[in-house]
Amino acid sequence: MLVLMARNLWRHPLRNGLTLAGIAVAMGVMVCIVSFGDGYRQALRGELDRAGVQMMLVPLGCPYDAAVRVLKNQTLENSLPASALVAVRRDPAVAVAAPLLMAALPRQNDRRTDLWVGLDDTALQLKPWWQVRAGQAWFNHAHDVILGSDAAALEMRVPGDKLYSPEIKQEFRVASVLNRSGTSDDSVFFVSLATAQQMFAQSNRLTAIAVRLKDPTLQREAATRLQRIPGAQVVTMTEMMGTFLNLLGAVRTLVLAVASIAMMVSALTVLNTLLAAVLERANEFAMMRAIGASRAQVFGLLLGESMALTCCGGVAGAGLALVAGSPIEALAKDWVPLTPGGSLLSISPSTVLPCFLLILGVGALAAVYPAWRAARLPPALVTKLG
Amino acid sequence: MNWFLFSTKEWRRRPLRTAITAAGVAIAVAAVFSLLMFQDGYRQGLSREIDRLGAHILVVPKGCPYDAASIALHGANWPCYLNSAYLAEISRSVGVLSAAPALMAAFNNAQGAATVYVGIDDRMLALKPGWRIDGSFPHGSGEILAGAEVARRHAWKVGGRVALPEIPGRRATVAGILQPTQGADDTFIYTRLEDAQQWFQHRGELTHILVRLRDANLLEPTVLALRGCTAGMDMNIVPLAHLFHTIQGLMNSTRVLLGCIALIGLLIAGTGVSNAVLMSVTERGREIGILRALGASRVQVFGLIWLETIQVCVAGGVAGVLLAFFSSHAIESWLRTRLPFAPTDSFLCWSWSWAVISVAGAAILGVVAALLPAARAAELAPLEAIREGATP
Repeated sequence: MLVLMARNLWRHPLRNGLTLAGIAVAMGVMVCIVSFGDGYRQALRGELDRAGVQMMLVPLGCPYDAAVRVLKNQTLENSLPASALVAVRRDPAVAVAAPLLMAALPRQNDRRTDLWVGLDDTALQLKPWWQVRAGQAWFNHAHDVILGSDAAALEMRVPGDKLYSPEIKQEFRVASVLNRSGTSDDSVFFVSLATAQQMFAQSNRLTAIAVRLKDPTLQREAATRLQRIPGAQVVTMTEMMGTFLNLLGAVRTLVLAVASIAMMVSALTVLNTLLAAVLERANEFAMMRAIGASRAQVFGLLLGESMALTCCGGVAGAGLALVAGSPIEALAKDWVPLTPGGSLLSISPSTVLPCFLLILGVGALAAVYPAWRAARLPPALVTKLG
Repeated sequence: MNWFLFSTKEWRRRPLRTAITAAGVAIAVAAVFSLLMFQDGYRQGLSREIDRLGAHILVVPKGCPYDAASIALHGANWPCYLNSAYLAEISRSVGVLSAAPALMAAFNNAQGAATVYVGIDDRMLALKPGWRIDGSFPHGSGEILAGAEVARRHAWKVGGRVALPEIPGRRATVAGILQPTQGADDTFIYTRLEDAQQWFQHRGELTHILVRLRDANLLEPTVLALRGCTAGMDMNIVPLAHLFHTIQGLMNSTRVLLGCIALIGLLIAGTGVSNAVLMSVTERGREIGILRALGASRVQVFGLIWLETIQVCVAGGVAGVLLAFFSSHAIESWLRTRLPFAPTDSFLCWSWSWAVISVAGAAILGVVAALLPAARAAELAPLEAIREGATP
């Protein structure tokens, strides 16, 4: 029976190839979308967990916007007074409070924007991925700069080199270069907090304060207390993650809806292909019936052919998703708000399997009508068609 | 019989196949067309909604979730409150034309329908030049101004004495009814600010303040000034233009993604069309052979197949546009439950230009999809095709 199916499918390589291509593309899209959502959630959680930051103090303004910008290493238009840091550190529930000041420095000549971040040494406790590849561990002088791995590659500097910034008219010494971390930190120029405040004329101002609590379960109480600090607002990571996942959920539903349309269209193609097969092979089916095949067997043969076709399409689609996944991911990273560092696509059996079952189901559904028509052909037809 | 009529014949011979092929194109085109309608409609709906709010800046309490603005637009319960003393400071700021205080309270009943009360004073009228009121604005205690939709639902008349929904034992006089605004205002019940503060036990508190500027160009300096004032430390100043951009940015990224997938759908529909035409060419090997033997040139055979394909695609395209148009209500209400910031009024708007572009897109799809089968048909050697009933 299987051989018969394969031989039948092989009779029209072009036709079945086209049908298969349609199924494969639909399947590929579906797998990518499903695994994208899963991967995004994992990567986001991983990034937030790794930092061990439970909340963030940002200046007033749209808190959502502010938190995204801080995570993506973009500057804010507003800033916090340094007094907020003192108030945060005085709070009994706070284990670590790391201030940071970010400033974007447009480089007219090179048509790019450098991001400078001022830190103090508390930041090290919140950045477990911070590893110095070469050079000294921390800033020794006011004009020391630590480069992220991409920034170092871009500036072609190694530790000990001089780095002159024409925009600020100041010369720096490269203290060290960091290992690649896969986060947005890779393209940053780090300086000490005091240096950054002086460089950008922001004395006693901060962009944000990242907070780790002694006991994460006390988050609610701590957030209420910290909320009272004038000029600052608290964004907790749980809240933020919830917001993102909500947004993502909405986007995913929309995308899945459009993708299922693609799947529906490919199912119609399968239906068409099978109908044509029934028409062409009417005398063949009649002959099978005449020599003793039951209706169920004829029905099963066509159903099997359709399943074999969708099965191949599904496998090809999963392969397509594996191959084309990473270029697509690179494209998607530019559009998605807040992209975590890790891989967004997690193509795993648990994401491929439901898609595969879905496409098999669609293939079976499309086969029902043609198979029913084939099974109903009267055996006597064979005498007419010859 | 001319070539055009001749080309329609094949499709009539296999009505089911034609229908399925055209349906595939129709579904894909409907998806693309819906997205195109959404693209313009959503932006317009959002900007109309923000215009209708009549304000340039929204002041909300600090510590509110990010969707404070959405609450102010659509009406819901607020988790946090502003001190009403800040109002004076905001009104005094340079650039502020008028600042209207509001206290919003929402109740959801068991059926999921919301009743939203908004306490306002006559400063709100300066922000809502579009309001037309039957009757008068509430001046005395215990008077309300009902939105058109609310008044219709409860069958309230101007001057009537009514029991207030969701506030047991409280009665009020309907001083005025708002003529339909097509926005969320239609579903609100407005009262005097003092009354609302008393009813909902939030004396001296507000949920948000709407600020209108003397000149929209003064936005940046005014926002800076408001953030700088003493009260500014305890409020979130949200410029609505920024909000608009943020939402718009989110939507844009989604749309690109959706557009790509819809195009892939179209591509799949294209292979389906190609396949269907290929089948009909295979079945008609003999017929095509005879045509050629009777003197039809290769170009004519090619053209015949091409014409057939384009016809089906255009038919599918037109059906798709109609499908999208007639199901736009259903799509819209489904989207409304999914999108985080859906404008109140219709955001799928019909546009002739997009409709024409969609159908043209379907025609182009046909042109491309026909290439392979038409070339195969044209390649047939006439005599062999007749003899063997050969498959190309």
